[in-house]
Amino acid sequence: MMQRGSATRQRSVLMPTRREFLSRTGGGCGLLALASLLQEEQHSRAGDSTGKSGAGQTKSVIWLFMNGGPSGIDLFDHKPDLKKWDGKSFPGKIETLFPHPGPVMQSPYRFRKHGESGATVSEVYPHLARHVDKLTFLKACRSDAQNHVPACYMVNSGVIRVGAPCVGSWMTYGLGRSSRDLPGFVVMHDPRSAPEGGANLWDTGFLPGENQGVMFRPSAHPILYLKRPAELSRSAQAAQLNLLRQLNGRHSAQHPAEPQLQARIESFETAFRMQSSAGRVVDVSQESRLTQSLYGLDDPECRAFGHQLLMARRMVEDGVRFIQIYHGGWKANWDHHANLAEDHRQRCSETDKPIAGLLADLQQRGLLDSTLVVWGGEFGRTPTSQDRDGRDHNPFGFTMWLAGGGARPGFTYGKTDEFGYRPVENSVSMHDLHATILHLAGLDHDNLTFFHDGREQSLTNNRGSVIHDIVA
Amino acid sequence: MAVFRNAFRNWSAIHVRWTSLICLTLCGVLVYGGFGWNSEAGFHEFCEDAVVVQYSTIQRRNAQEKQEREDQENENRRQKHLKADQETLQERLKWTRVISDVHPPSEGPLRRAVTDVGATHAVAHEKAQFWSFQPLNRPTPPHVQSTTWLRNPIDRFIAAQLERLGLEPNQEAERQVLCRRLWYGLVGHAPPPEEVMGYAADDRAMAYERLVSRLLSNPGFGEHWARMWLDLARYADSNGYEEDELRPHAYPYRDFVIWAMNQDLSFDRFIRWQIAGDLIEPDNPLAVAATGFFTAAPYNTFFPQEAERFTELDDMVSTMTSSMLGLSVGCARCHDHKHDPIPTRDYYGLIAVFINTRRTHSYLIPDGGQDYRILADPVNKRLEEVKQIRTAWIKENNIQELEGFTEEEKDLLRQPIDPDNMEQERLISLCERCLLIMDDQIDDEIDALPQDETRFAQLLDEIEGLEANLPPRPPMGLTLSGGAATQTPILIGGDLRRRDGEVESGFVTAVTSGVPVWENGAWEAWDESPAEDSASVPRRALARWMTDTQRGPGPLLARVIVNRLWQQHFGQGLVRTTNDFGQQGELPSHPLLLEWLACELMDNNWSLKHIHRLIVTSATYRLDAGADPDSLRIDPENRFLSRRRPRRITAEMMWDTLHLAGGNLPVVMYGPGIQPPICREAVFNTQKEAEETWPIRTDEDRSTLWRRGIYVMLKRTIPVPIMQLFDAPAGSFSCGKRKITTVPTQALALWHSELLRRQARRMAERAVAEVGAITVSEMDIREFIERVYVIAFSRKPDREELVTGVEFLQEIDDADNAVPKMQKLADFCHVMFLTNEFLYVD
Repeated sequence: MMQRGSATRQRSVLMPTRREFLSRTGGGCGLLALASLLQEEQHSRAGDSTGKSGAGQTKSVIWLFMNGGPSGIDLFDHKPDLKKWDGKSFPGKIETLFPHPGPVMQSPYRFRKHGESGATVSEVYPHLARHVDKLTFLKACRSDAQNHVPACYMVNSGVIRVGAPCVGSWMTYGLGRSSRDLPGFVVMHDPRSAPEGGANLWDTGFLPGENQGVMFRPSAHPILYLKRPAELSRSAQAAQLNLLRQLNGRHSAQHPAEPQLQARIESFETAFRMQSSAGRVVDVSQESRLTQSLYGLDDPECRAFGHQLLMARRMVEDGVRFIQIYHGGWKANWDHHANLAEDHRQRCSETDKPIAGLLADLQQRGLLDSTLVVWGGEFGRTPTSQDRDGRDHNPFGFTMWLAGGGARPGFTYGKTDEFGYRPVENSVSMHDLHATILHLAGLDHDNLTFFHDGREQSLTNNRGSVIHDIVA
Repeated sequence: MAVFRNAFRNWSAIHVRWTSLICLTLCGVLVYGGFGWNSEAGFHEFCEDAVVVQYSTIQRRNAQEKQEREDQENENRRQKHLKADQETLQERLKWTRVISDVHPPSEGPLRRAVTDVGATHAVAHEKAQFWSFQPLNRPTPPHVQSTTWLRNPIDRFIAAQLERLGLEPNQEAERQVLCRRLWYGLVGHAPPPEEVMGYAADDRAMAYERLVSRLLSNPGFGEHWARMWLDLARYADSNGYEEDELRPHAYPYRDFVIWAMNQDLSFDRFIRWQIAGDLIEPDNPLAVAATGFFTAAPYNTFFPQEAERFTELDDMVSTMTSSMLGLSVGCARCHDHKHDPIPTRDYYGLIAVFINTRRTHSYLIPDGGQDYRILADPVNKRLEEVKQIRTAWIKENNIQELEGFTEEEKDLLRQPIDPDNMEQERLISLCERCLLIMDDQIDDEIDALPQDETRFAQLLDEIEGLEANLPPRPPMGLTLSGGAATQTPILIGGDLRRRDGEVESGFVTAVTSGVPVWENGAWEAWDESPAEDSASVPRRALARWMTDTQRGPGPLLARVIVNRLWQQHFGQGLVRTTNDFGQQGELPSHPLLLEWLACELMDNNWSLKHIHRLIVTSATYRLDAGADPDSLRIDPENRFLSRRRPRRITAEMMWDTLHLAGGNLPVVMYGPGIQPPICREAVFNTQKEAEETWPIRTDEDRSTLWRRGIYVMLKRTIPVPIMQLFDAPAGSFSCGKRKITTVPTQALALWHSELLRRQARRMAERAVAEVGAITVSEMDIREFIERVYVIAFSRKPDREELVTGVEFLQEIDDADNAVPKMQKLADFCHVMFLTNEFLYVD
């Protein structure tokens, strides 16, 4: 028979605070663990502040991953000579993924110079064009892989093979977490489809598991398993948590000096809080109408992407270190082997307003200095045509851009040949890019290492160097 | 700490030869096992058989300038490390890290491997002197003072160290705790309640040993222990990369490993079969399936590029050497290994062994599928012809598709198919892919035409007819075949475009004796008498070399595997870097014990179960988990094993125990894996719609899905969330030790996932039934709680826990009368799954 116990009921209503709880359980050890747990900002491995002033400015990264390979020569890297060669065979050797490349194809879009820096942007990015003076263009990026998934691995981890830790995990590992309830590394993908390569793209590899990218979806329950099952009410769950605390407390008392057990106790407290805090970060209805429209939330075409970018800004405010957003997945991507003129225009109109809005919003809130925005795909596209009106993959010379976070604004680095095919000066490998991004965050790419498989490994593994010219 | 910091600053090099071991002294401070001694005498007190030798006396080469330069580099590197790692200094100051950071550079054979690839051939393959490369000498278990707690020779090695440190071992753990520990340790899940109660009541002599014997012959043993090897073999059930197709014929390899563990297949044979089972015992389907070790790797099927073939070969060699020998041979791909005596020459010698191998599907029936072939071969032959005609037809009709190929390439394409010609294979694959793109269009066009008018359609019909006439196909496995002797170019810096000479098959020089490995044909020393009708095959020679205890790395193989078993039983290996027995790895905490265990393995026909039995019947294994202040102060990480530390169970162990608790884990062994439904949000990727890729969560609870965790399919791009969250590896690289991650998303998954809720409900229903209650309302709540504790924790609750449990159930009762009682009981069971006691086993 159950006994009615009013004292107990009272205790469950007055749930002990974490501090009370931890100091009560496990004696001295509890206090010790508490001290470390309360130190929300984990130790940062940043420390390299030598060099230019821009180094070390980046606290968070928002990486806009245009999945499928956006065409630099149709968006930013204007090549007037293509018009001259239009319809003619490419003079020289061209390496394409598909054999039998077609003739050279000029850009279907018009270009114009913008801003004080005079950077060229094509007509399909009108809103973004107004922000060119915030951007650092890397116009001669290069990669080792010509096919999507290996190239995506290359962009994210520096190797074409699956399984190496990605740049987001390295950043989180290097900078430590600073958000109380949110993960350090968040990933969002296009609601229409996920990128090929799946969860391997945001893999933490051999780095500790807390640096794994956590998928956020633009819904009230953005994280997997965040939603409480219907049959478990909040009060029932609170009661469960209370019982759990008691049982774990007794167990800890029998196992002092096991910090893992304390960390796990804390993980349940965080999980309980996250149900409201993670939902809050996604809930953009708290933003003003003006802000919402800045990100294009009132435009059905770009609402989904705008929503994700606005979420990203809210996460940056909350201290999330690295947010990677994939635009385009295995369908509705930037991989236009045919019908490029129309399809690229479509992708641009889905992303133009949101990206412009993000840049403006970050600046007006004073966040742009500490937030690095990266735009790019896994490679670019060839000057030659494919299937009459498309372009093949070009990993040899393609465009990416950076903004904020201590990168040099209104600056263009690197140059491709007259076709926009191969670099002619200042080409940037993915390792250079990684080294520079880590540098902007105050991390030394040679120094940020983890012992695995017989040696100290790093993101760049003795390749790549910091491009100091693009650090402000 | 202060001692170590000093040591860091002023290290001087003194090597300590300790039986066959070399360790290092720093500034006259001998550092060992996290402890420093200020004098040689002090060190000898700790380890009496150590012989300290001045480093200078073993110096043999004078490379003063180079050394100074490297010293400076080392110093810079060390300073950087120090700066970056102030916070984790304590962690880094484990003695071997210290050694690796300040190791005297470029002296003796260990450092003579040149870093200039061009000079690779000039490397003298002097026998390395590193401890793990030495022959095995069986040590005598040391004499110790306190003999009362000892149970077998393992304990003597442990006790000797503890006595030197002045540590007392803990008491033996309680019987229920031991029973639980053994079940998790040998079978991989919690014991059934009746087992715990039975064992607790069994007061006969040798009850423990009897339990060990029973568990070692429990079929669940293999299902648990196979997982360790599958982690090392980076096993998964799909290809990975863009297409990430499921591999329906991958599982026979998994089943082979389970079988081998259960049968206690001698470990040397286990290794040889995996390298060349198809060549050594071609008529034995298990031996053939074993080569799935190499084909378990990720594999890109979508426009594979030549560079990826070398990445694949690299993976094969790296995975083999790190899992079997604990050597990171892969480091020598671009340059001679910087720390271990592994020149690039050795690396490409191993690549040459595999460069002619192929991924293939083999029939896994005793005669290699001969009966089937007699029936099927004529049909298949015609089928091939027809398919070739079809391909040719497509080619003829799509000549423009071949425009991208050179004349030479076209010539190669026209020649008969040669399975060993990689270039041709690549071209055919490229060509077919181009054609396939057109294929759909062709099919459309064909459909539009009257069927009987097209030759193509007739061919399609014939193919269909032939396929329908094939007899039922025997089981197949994804295996490795081929591997004729050949040469391979050395790629400078691993770069395909920079080739430097050719090498033929060879093995790792540093662990070979008596045979000059780099001489042409030297590998044949291990493949002297192949069957009359067949040529020597380097892969078969490699298999024999690998387990050769006299001329090959057999002793190292033995050391590495016993260390892995030790890690699985104690949470850390005697050498904690289980995949690295080289210079960058740590030295063993109990070197003589490691040597002794390796000898035991080799002298007992490489029986792993013999080693398991030795380990779990030792007194050391049975210690309880209490921690006294001395032990915490002197040995916080418990490297010297004066106590037991609670260990987190793995994702699979959790999966199994959850199902066991819910009463739905029937014994169903082997066969194709299961795809447990997961929620839609967790299904990423692939060309197909989510539903076609992985079953989406429904509330169905089909009994065909009640299998142990080892049978849960691993699709590389769509990991099952609960498995991934609890650190099951992704099958990308060989995993010698699982990470132990604690993150809030795990808590969310345990709290909210359908799996946990369902198992909690099942457990509640089961417990109600088992206490013999007719209706829930009449049930004695205390009996229920007791039953739940026994199921979840293998013990009865104490008084306070009973009261807490009653209060909880009472509380919800009051809070919300609308909630059905069974729901409340399930909520209670659910909490058991969330506790630390559930996830951590003492």
